[in-house]
Amino acid sequence: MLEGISYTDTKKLTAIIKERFNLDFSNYAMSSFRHRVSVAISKFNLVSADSLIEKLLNDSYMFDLFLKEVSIYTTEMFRDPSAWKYISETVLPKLASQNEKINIWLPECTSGEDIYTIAIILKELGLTQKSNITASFISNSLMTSFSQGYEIKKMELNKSNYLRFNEKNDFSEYYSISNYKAFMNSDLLKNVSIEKFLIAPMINPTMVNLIIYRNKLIFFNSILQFDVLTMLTNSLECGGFLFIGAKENIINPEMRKHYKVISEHERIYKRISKN
Amino acid sequence: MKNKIILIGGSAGSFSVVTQILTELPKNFRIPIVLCLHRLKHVRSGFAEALSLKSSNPVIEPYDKDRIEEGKIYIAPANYHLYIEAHKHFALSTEDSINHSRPSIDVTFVSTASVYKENVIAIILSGANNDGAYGIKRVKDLGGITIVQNPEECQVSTMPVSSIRIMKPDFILSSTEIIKYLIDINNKAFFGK
Repeated sequence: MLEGISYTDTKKLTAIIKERFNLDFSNYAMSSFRHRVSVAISKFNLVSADSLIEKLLNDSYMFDLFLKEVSIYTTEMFRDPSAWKYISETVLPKLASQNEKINIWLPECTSGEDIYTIAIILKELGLTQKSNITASFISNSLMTSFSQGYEIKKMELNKSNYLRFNEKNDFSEYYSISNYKAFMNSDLLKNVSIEKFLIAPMINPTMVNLIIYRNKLIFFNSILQFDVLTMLTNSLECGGFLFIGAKENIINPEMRKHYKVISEHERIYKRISKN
Repeated sequence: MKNKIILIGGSAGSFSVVTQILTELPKNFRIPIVLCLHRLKHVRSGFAEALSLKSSNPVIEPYDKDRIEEGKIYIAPANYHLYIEAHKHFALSTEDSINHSRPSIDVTFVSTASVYKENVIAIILSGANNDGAYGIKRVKDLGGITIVQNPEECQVSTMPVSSIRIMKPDFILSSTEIIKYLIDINNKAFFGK
């Protein structure tokens, strides 16, 4: 299963998905995509890429399940605590001093961990009222599961990350336990609006001050990275910040011209080009 | 053959062996080395730097899409899986842990084997779980050279023992013999000796 499906099967599958469902996976990072497809095949109790293709073509529910299976979920709050600390101590106070409202955008959400992380930070800074968070989900079912009481897994990990972020506060005030499950307090989301995200270029009239887009670029090849970054950059105001994953990079030199690195180690960039 | 690559996987008890290997490899060591070691998730910095101090070649934690270059030693970053893609660059992933491990040695070994095939030299060192066993088996299946550290020498022998259980490595060597083997193969590949 770790080998993933073959390159030939991958080509066939992505071509059919593109034709039938108008979604293009051909510019995804191949190794991890091939791996996730083979995980999906075995989860669906199928035997081959061909049998998956057949199912996708004949069963209308299958594609949604498939999308869920090949999506990547962030399952950790405050991943890389020092990076969130930088956001909290440096980026947000600066944005608060320069703007009446801070517009924060989380494109392509698959889960709620980063949304709750930034919501908690804003609350602790007393900036909830002063900010708008827009969370764009990639599918309706993910959006529904987020808005109906968000269950957090890996609570021990989240707690220990949080302690590294802020050792003075008690993380347990942010969630409650019911039936041995931990649910985040939804009142943290007062300033959050959620929407369905279309893969087609988003028309985003509101200029965004901070884009949180962590560990998503790694799942694309450099062509798709460039397209996605172009779209994000167009939504980001001059002087706004882009926050990516700890080991992600803006590779394309043309794209890099738009940005100044604010923190090399925490991967925080500031847009310096004018709109 | 100049497009060889060396993979080293290990967990508990492997750090001192890796340090020993990197200390003793000469400056003219050209074959790229990729280290996939189980490490603390939340400790992002210090590891590559600590190894760099001992090594005569640079030790780098690659960023996503970085190209693999000769003469460099790469270490899988904390809390990511490390794949190698068809065009010989790195690709990182935050997919779930495999065998409770991220980075998973199996992921790195399997994806490298599918790209470099018979040009892989894969080594499993001391470690406390069976991650890496499947990976080194795939390296062998695709024609690469496989080396397992002698379990008798290992601080924790679970990882080498699980590997030997499912495949027959080309060599079972002590850490000193591993170093000698690597130097020989580098000399043959690059200096015709």
